[in-house]
Amino acid sequence: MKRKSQRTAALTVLSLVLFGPPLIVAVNRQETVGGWPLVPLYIFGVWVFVVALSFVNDVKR
Amino acid sequence: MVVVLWTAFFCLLYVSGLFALAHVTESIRRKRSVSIADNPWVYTLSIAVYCTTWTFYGSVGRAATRGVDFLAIYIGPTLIFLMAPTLLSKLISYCRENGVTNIPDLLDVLFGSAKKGHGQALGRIAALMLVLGVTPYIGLQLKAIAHTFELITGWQSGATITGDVGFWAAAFLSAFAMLFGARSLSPTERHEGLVVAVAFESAVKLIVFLVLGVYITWGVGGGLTQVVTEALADPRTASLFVLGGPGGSSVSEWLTLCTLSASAVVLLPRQFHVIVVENQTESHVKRAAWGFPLYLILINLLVIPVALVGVLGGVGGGADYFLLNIPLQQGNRTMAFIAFLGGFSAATSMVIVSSVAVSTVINNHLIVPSVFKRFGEKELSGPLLGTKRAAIAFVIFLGYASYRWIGDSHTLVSTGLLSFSAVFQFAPAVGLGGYWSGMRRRGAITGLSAGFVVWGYTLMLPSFARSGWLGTGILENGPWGLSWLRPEALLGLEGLDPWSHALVWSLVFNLGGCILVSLMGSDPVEKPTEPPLTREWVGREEVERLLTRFIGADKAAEVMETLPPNAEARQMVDLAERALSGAVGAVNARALVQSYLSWTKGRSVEILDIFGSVSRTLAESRENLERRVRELSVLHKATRTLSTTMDVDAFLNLILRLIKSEFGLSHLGVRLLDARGRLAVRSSIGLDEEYADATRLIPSRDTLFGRAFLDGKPVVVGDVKDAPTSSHFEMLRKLIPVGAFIHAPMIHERKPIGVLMAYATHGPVHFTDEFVSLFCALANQMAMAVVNAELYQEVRAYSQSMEEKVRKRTAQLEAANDRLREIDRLKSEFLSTVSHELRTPLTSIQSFSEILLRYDVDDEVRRKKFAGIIHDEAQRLTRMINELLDLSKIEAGELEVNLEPVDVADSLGRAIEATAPLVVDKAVEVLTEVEPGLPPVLCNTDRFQQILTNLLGNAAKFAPEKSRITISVRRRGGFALFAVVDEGEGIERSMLRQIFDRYKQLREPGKKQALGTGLGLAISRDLVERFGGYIWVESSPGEGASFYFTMPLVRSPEPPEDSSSDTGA
Repeated sequence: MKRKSQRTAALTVLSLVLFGPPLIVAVNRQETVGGWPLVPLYIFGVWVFVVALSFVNDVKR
Repeated sequence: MVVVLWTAFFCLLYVSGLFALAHVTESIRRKRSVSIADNPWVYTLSIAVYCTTWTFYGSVGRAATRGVDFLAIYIGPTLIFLMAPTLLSKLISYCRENGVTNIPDLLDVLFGSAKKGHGQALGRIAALMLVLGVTPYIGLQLKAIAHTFELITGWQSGATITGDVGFWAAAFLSAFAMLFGARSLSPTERHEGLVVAVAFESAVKLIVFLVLGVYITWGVGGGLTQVVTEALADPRTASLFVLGGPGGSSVSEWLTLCTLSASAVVLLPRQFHVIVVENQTESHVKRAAWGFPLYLILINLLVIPVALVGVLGGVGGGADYFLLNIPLQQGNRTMAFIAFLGGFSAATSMVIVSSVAVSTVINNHLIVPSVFKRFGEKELSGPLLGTKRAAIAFVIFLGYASYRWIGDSHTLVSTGLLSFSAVFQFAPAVGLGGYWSGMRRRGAITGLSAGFVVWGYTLMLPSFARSGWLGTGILENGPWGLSWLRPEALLGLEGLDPWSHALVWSLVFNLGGCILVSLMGSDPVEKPTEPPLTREWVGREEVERLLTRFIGADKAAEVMETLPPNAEARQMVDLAERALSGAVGAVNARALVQSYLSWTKGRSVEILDIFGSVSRTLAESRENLERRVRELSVLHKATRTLSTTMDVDAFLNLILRLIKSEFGLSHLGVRLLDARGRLAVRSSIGLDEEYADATRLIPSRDTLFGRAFLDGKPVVVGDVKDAPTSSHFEMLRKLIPVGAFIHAPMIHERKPIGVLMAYATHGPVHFTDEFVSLFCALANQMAMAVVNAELYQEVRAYSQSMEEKVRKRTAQLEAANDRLREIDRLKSEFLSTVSHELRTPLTSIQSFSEILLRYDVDDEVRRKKFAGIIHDEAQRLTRMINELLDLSKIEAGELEVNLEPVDVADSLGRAIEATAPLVVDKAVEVLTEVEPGLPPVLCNTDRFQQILTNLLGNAAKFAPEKSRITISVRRRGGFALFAVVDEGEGIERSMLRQIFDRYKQLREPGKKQALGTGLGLAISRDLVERFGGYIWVESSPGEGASFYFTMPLVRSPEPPEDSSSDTGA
């Protein structure tokens, strides 16, 4: 249980870092990666990533 | 027109479906206690009420105009929900504990209890802010419904309200919300039907959006890759792929939106309601932690492609409604209708939940505090429900009004953000209140008010200005021309988007106010510990009555059931507060309970009554104690009686009298087993003897006392009407008017020995358990005493018999001792006599032999005479010594006798010869009479001779001169009877027995000294007895003595010897 809340805290910090400045400023460029625009790709990628981690955190004992 | 009707019909159908779903949910809940709402997915979907028409239509609009930064509206909630397991769980449990059902409640609870005066201020400000902040948002939904309805049907809303779709939507949604959101004033303020309906709508809007997104992206736009490629190439859309759009202040707005949405996803009334109030268990929160963000991802996945398709396709009618207009442009009315349905779902769910949540706030913080004091003691659950329903309708129609007045000036997103910014004002207070103990109520009020004012000035005012209410001049030049007061560039802060601008300033004033004022305040006064509440002040009934007034009897009873039966007063008060806070808010609940308690305290009559009852209880318990003491003292007295007396009947009677006097049982009896195994009345008071005789019975189950005896258990009958009848009992009842009775077995060492019976005659009696056990103890005591007494009697009888025996034996011993002493005396007397007797002949012999030796006795005659005397005396001496030897032999048992036939006549002749010298001197005549033909006797010749000589010598001694001695022998059966009769003075009667005793001598008349040793008769007796005969004497004084003895005859008849008779001596 303790480990679980620690993971939750870590996940929150990670999300804040990934979604907040300066990272969000750094990726906020009009570029494409493999034909896909960078910003939506980054946002959705990180989004899915952190939600997946949250899911793992919930499922894992 | 047909389309309008059909669409309206479908809308109604859909809303009816929601009604049905909610209704089914609640009826299932009621009937089977199974809750559909108690499911993590339902919980997660219900949280998705966050996604309103703003999401459904507005996201596309914002994406089409400002680019990807709309995603911030969903990133903020994602961040919050990632923290859900800790942050939200904490919030939920805190609110659950304190009965918090909305944000103003939460603030109230966070910042202390409501004191008089400013108690309601915080809640009221908060409530007002919520209403103001949220109403436009509700209006926004109604607007969306109306607008999309018009789009899809081509209906033109007229100027009249009745022709306005929005109005009808508001009406129907009000009805639904009033029915399912204010079904009752529940202690938890949960509405499961509502939640399930909302969750269903969330599912609908997600599915619809995905369907539409796929249709538009692939069906209209030609696939995701194509859309993106085209968009990247097109200058109109290329800049939409970065934050802030073309030249926008990108990151600040992103951060602002993230912050606003993060706070809004929890603090918006509807969000707070579904997340906190409708939460069923903590595990649901964990599911929502990733489930809700997942929902957000899914519903946003195709927003950008749809927006791009719309922009690229040059779809008109505003970017907000691309989702409808694209299918319409394609001529696909079905898809358009589906899209409309999705938007309708989003709108209705939001309106319903928001209105319910806000109505609770209005009710609890604006209505109840001002009016509940006037309610008196009436049932309030009805009126409160009424005001709540009115509040729901009020909120929805206020929203409708705002949309009517403000008009179309705002986009969906901006109206939504207006609300977000408003509820954000709660964030500092809630956040600080939760984590900083120094936060004060005054600070919260200040901060909230300041933030509210800043929000109104920087966001609401420009909104009004743009909608034409005010001139836009105020925006450009500031009020009264003060440029530093320009609402959108306050204090010269320019270059920010209005949301960030408002956020910065409201945060500065709000947070600043909170902290500053809190810090200005003094240290918190130690919370005075609440005085302990005694049960007397707060009764269960009072609490239930109080609850009934506010939440209705059923719910009140339900709540009271959760209370442990012996709940403390404090527990009850807390429960009441919690239960009421669901219905009227935490602060009101507390105030209510407090005022109710003080009101109760004021009622001195009741208190007196309470004291009365308390003292009554005390008196009762004293009575109980006294009774108990009396009972025990009876037992004690009885025990003492038992230990002091050993007479069974006496103590039984004593104890019965004791029972009678102490317990007032008038008729009593003790039955004990008698020798024949029957239970007989041993002792009794007031029982008839006839009855006692008639019921002396062997114990059986036919009798009540028998039953008590056999079962070893008391038979207690408090009312004879209940008693099993028996003929004996009927007999008793004829004699005594028995009302109640008790039979207790008298048990000693597990064995019943009797029954103690008591009858009461003054009607039925309630025998307490204590009394019965006491009675049984008494019976057992008596049993023990009876057994002890019986044992005592036995012991006493035994000891008495023993004493008797000892006494007898002692007497015997004493007699023997006397006898021995007598014998001893006789012996010494005898010895002196014998020694004297022995000395007499010795003296004679000595003196005559001296004469012969010293003096020459020349005379021959004299010499001979002297020699003769010496000879005689020597013979006498020899005889005496022989007698003594014989006696010692006889005494030692050494005398040997050889039995032989002895001729009587012979022995008789010799005996006469031997005694002749004695007789001759006195001229006594000896006669013999021997029966002819007498056979010889069986004895020893010498000894027989000795016997005869002794008797003859004895007779000769006592015979007077010239008298006669007669010796006769007769046959008597197998014996010969000898008689020696003299004519002397006879023997005293008292001497007759002693005469044969040893050492007993008869004095010769006129002579002090006895003649001879006196052993003759004793030796004779011993010898006679030795030979199997018997010797005795018959005499009376003055008439001589007759000595008789018997001697066995020889059995075998021998030829009779002709022995002579009549031998004269």
